[in-house]
Amino acid sequence: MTVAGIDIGAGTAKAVILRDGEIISYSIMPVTGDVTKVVEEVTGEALEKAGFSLRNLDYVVSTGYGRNAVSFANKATTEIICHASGVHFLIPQARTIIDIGAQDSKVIRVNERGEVTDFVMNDKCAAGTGRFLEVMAQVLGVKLEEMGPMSLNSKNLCNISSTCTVFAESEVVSLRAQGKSIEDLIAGIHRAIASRVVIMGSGIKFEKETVFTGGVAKNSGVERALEEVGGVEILIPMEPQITGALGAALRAEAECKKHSPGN
Amino acid sequence: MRRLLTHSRSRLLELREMRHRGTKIIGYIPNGYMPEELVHACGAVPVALVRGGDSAPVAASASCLARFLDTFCRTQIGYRILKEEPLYQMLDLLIVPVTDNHVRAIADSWDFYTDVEVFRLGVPHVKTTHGFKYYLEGINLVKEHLERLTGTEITEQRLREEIDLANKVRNLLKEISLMRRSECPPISGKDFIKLSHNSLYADRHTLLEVLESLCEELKVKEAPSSGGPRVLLTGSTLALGDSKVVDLLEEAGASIVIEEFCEGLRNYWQTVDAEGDLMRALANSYFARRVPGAFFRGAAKERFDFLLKLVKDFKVSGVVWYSLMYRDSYDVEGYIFHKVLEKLNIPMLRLSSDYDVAETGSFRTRIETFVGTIKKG
Amino acid sequence: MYSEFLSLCGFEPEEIKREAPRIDKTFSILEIGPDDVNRAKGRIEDFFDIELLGMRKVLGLWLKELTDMVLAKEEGKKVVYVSFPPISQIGAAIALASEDVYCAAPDVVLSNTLNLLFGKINPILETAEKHGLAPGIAFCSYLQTRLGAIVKGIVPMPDLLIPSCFLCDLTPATDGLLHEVYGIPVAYIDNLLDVRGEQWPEVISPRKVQYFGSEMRNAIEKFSQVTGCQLPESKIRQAVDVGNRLNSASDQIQQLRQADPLPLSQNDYQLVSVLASACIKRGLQEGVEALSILRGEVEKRVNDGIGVAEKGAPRVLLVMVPHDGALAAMIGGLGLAICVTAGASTPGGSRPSSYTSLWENVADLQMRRRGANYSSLAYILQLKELARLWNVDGIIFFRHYSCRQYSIFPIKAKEVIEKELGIPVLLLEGDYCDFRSYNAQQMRTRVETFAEIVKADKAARKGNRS
Repeated sequence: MTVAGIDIGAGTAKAVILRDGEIISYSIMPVTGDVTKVVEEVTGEALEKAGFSLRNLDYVVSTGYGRNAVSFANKATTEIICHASGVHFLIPQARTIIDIGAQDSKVIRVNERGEVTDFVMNDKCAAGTGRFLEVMAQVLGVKLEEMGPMSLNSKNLCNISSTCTVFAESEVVSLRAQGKSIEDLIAGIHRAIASRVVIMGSGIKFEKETVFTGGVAKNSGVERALEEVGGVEILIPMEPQITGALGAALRAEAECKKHSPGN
Repeated sequence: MRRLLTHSRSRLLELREMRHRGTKIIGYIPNGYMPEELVHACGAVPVALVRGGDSAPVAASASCLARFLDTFCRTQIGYRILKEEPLYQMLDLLIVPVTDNHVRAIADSWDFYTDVEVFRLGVPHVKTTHGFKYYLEGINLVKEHLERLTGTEITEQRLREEIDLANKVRNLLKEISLMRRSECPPISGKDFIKLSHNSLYADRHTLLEVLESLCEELKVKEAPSSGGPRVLLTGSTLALGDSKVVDLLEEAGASIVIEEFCEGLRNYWQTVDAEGDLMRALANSYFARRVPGAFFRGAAKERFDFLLKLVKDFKVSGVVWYSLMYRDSYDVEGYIFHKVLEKLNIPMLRLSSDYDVAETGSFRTRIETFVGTIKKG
Repeated sequence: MYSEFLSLCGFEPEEIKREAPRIDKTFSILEIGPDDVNRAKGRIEDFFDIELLGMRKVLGLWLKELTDMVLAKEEGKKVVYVSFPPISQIGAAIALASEDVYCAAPDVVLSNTLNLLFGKINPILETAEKHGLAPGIAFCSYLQTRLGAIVKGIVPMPDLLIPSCFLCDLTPATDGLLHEVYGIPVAYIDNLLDVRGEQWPEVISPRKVQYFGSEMRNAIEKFSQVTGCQLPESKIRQAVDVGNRLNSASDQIQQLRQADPLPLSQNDYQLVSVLASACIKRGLQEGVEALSILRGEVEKRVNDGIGVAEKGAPRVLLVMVPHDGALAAMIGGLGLAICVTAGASTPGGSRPSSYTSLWENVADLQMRRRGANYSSLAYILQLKELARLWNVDGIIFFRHYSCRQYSIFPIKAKEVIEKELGIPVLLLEGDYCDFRSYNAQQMRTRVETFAEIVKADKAARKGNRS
């Protein structure tokens, strides 16, 4: 049985191909311009890597912000449900999931069967999302990928007190002008994003194992800040950006098994 | 003044020691509806929960209360959660005079999320006969509760003594405040506010001595040459630690000659007329004769008359209306009062705060512009 | 002119002929044109069960009430506006006091007609924002509707305002503004939320009952002073009886929503329950008949096993219902059966009062009727009780951003209910009346996810039992 999960987020599109329960390929692409085109491209790339074509797929589940733009999907499921399924597959002991994407962030409580039991999400405010980091990277003239390693060299973390991205931006500019080091500022920025997410998730206790997913999980500085602010050890799966698409693919598999003859 | 500040610093340790020796520490929300005399009269110590101005406790309160509530009211549970304010950790009882839904949020959040006992004193929002009766019954219930908690009866004699003391303090504060009617006020708004805030914690005997000597000092003080543009600072709450607006006004050269806030500053305008039934006398002073907060139903006329009297007596040339976010009754009143002042050609600046660090910049711009405007006028 | 639309709303042919001039006039004052009527037709078809004659009649009653309100002054009546939530006994007493008096809550009538059906409330909200009420979601859009409509002049300037101030501080602030700036007399009905409330609905303290009762008595006296219309106690009791009959008819229909599959949608029932509880005069005079038709039709559905949701669909309690039809429709579309809201009655809440004096009797009932009128804890207790009575599998706590009392306890309510009842609770924030900055679609991800959680949870609980 060959299935696919397609996750169309606000910043990136992801596709995962699963065959008989194993990941055989995946692809990640930025979302720019025509969403339908991106859907085709990201799916096409994953299929090519796997050596399959669209008609080989038995079932497709789409997820993410743009899940209704995947015309060939058999079903659309929310990204919260899919992240839970994906993380459960990779780390079955996961009980709390922190997902920080390009334009939203979520904290999800998941049980031993990989089912969501509670969740909270922020999709209105840029603070606490990847966007916050993007804005700050531009302000400081650094690349997003450099922020994690650079922050590890911080000696004296710079506290950013503004809760709003717009105000935080001018706060960072003025702190830089005062001569604060870039490393200290980046550490402060990481602390700020972690605080926003921890406050948002304060109704959901961070239990072991707590797993961090989403594009921002690739940033080791944010990981460290989350551990400090959240008071909990954090695990990150090998490719943290694809957990949504993986979860969608797993659910596609489950749907397939339900409908197949002999069941 | 210096003596008062030194005393305030050591007061915390004093209170802790007193508590160890068995004295009950009674917290209350200082909106002018809780007669402190009752607490003193049974040997307990009243401490006002009046801290504000910081953004960290606001963020901390998000785990208990939703965002769209008055910032000061939200932060009270925040201070308790953060454990950085010792006073907030040492209460045996919290008395909340429940006025509007925002203050009710303080009572409910402490009730739900701490193990401190919460006593709700209902304040009717209308000054009718049955409203007065309700309030009077309420403070009688407070009296009984305090007596049970401390095991001490509140005798008429003791209560009368405390009322006399409190009246002395109120009269001295009033006398000092009224000195600012002069063209060259001998004490700045900032210092008077400091005095008022500290009086909510201080030992009342020390406070009395300080006020007496300060009063004498100010009577003969060489006042500075004429102060800047004269401002009435009014609104919902001026918390201890919320000095942004006061600092910015004085930095811009304005002179805050009088304040009127419902919460955060000690109300000194009415003394208690200790004739006959003392509980009735308290209700008369604290409820019937007190200028009502904006959350009173149909309060506008009485409040505006009082504010206009202040404007006249203190020769105010500009009004700064400072309230906290989401305090709707004050927002609506601010709109109406602005119209009233427009007719009298008195400029008014409206500011609302969420205790956010980022506000300083935008407040400064507005305040400097405003003070510049009234300088000309 | 709009005969097709009117017959969709249950108007008989002779009624159309008779009411046409008044409706045309009303639509012209409200600036409702053919496009708006088309939109309303679409919305009614999307959100309401128009195959039920009873529902069409209910829609018609709302339209008639809207007409009565807009034309009240022109038709020579004294106009009194109560507010939301109304004290139904007072509303009923004044509404039925005399043919020369018109009484309603304009915010309620407009929200359920101009907003819900025609989707034409924005100009009114904008007017309110220009006249003293903070813009956007910073001030309650219900009250923006109230003030905006009066200031804009689409509803007559009232002779008296009677705001309900026993729960909300924004209502007296709004009516205070109307008084100070426009000189309208106001009779406030005040109460205090100053008790912990853990004993609700058992004992409501006598002093609270006396206070609230006195406030009501004073308000009625002021009404008589201002309008010259006398209201002896006997007349008030009669009106209260009429109101009780209507509420009882509404409760009977709600009882039918215990059935599985759910026989009547929340959007439909919403119009019925507010018609009953908000003392709408047309409801008081013609409602019992319309509701009896509806009840018959819903009973038939129950007997035939027909419903608007699947059999076995998870049952949810939706705390508050915004005036857009879209949220309740979306929740239903996701396979959840909204069988009850927080406004439903409970046995403890609607038990007759032991107070014999009229206004104390009403005061006692008002505080017991809805936990929100008493304390935060009482509200949580009421939600628990409703969840138990209605066998609910999950609660969707949709709250109005700017409703201050509802900002205090949702987090605690979720904690308590999830812990003590073991059912999931979803907290949603939005707006009752202002859809410029939020809409149901934005809630879709959260509601969809919650639907999955509830279904899985229900299946697990069923599995545990077998």
